[in-house]
Amino acid sequence: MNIKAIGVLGWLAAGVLASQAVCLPARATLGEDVATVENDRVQMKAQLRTTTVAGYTVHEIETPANTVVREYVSASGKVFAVSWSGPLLPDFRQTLGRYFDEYNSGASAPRVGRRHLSIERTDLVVNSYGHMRAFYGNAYVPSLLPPNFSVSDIQ
Amino acid sequence: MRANLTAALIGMLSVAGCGGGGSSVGNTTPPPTGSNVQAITVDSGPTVVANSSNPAINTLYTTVKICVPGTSTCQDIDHIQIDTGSSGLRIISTVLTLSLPLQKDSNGNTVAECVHFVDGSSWGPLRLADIKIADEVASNQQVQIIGDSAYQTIPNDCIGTATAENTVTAFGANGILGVGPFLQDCGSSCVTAGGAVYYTCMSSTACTDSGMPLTRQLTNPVTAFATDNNGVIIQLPTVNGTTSSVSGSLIFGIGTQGNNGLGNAKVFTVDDSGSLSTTYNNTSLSHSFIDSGSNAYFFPDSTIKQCGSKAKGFFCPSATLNLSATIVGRSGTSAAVSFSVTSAESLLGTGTVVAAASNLAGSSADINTSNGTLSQTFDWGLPFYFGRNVYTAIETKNTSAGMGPYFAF
Repeated sequence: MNIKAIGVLGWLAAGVLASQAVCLPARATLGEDVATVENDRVQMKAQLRTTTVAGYTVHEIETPANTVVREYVSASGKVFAVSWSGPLLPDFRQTLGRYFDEYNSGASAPRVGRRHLSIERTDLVVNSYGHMRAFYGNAYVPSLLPPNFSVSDIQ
Repeated sequence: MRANLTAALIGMLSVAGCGGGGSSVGNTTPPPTGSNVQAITVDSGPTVVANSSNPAINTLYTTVKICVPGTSTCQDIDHIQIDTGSSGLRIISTVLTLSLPLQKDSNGNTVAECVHFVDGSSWGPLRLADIKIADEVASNQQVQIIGDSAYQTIPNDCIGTATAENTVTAFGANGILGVGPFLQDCGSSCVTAGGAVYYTCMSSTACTDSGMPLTRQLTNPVTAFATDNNGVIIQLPTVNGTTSSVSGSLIFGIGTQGNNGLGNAKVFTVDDSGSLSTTYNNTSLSHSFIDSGSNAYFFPDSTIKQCGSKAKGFFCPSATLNLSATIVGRSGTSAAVSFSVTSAESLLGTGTVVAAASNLAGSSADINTSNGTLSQTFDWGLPFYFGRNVYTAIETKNTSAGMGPYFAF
């Protein structure tokens, strides 16, 4: 397994309690257990680094094409949010898991243009924007957000 | 016939829409002429789009001639969207009447692409064609044929990237002409496998994710012209309010002819993802971009009211807002840009044909929170182009103002 050496992420500086390179078991997908992180890493042939912040853990996966996927895991071990940034979109079937169909139906609704997508449903929120070579976005499950977690903390 | 019929219908719709009042197109300067000048329009789109419940808005189109390589067997295809946010020509298969040869990789396998857009991906093989626009010719160039009937098996990892956008109605155009600041659409990120963009196909139903050398990726056709190949200028008149159609020019080359000099335009360099910065409300938005393929200004501002379901995604302020933001190139050049935002529901709900709206804007992230926003993007879409000459210089190509990639205006 190829794990990148890690440091404290600047954007988390204030809240970082621990920062460690770890090998996680099995796989992570939105709404699933932390165990699902490793499966995403393998699927994406990616490198992984992990940062623990007060109340939640961020697993950062970098694909060979340099798209960074961050998976936010609550203290109870659930992936409650994911974000992505990089030249290519991640595989949403993998990262969104059981929410993929809901994402798909939201993305199929009448659109305002091919550079922006917002889906706001009771159990899934998605923001996606950008163009080839520069995609950004995030998705989260409102009911799974840890107490006192602000969605603006999703980077 | 298809092209002519579409043009005629759109013409009728445009005329019918002129009685709306309160709208005007400024700038009576005669259009530039020359072998490097292509007529462009903003209208409601191909017939099936214009007549749908979701007609095109602020979408820039032109007609492109494609030919079987080395022959005079050609087809004019109207309503190809002009997009500075991508590179390469893509055509929806249902409008194509020519039989074009497939591009092969070094092993003789065919090549297909799953091109990513945030709201969908488009699947189809790369074929080869001579592309003719104005008097410029790009010979034997790759063209992605989206929804190609011979390639109906979309790989699972392509479906997993986004919803399929493989028809004229879903795409909002008969094709898209990417004239962005890059030589290829994807570039170095697609040279190695794993991104679910390029595929090699042992057969039309057996395509696997593969790395693709730059020379075989979909190429910006401008770079293949014999001359005027270092960039493009999009020239559109001022639009005050809304209108049913706008005419302008796509001019090839920067400083290569008497009609395409930079003049007083300032240069804003972009990074290798095409991004620059924009300062809005004292916040620096580092993932910003200038993009003729976006149909509005998109930026984060939680203080502006969002529209309801009729115009979801756009802003609906109770009165027109006059705003300003500063575009900052990666090399530090900056310029303040003024723009206005009018309620999308009032702009689009007039009952008349509206194809262009200068004050259309939306949020670049639906979620704005009390302590920040999830978006670091200001997307300067087509309204930014109204009343300007916007230059796009291509990477590695020299111009009188230095090497691309950059935008200038």
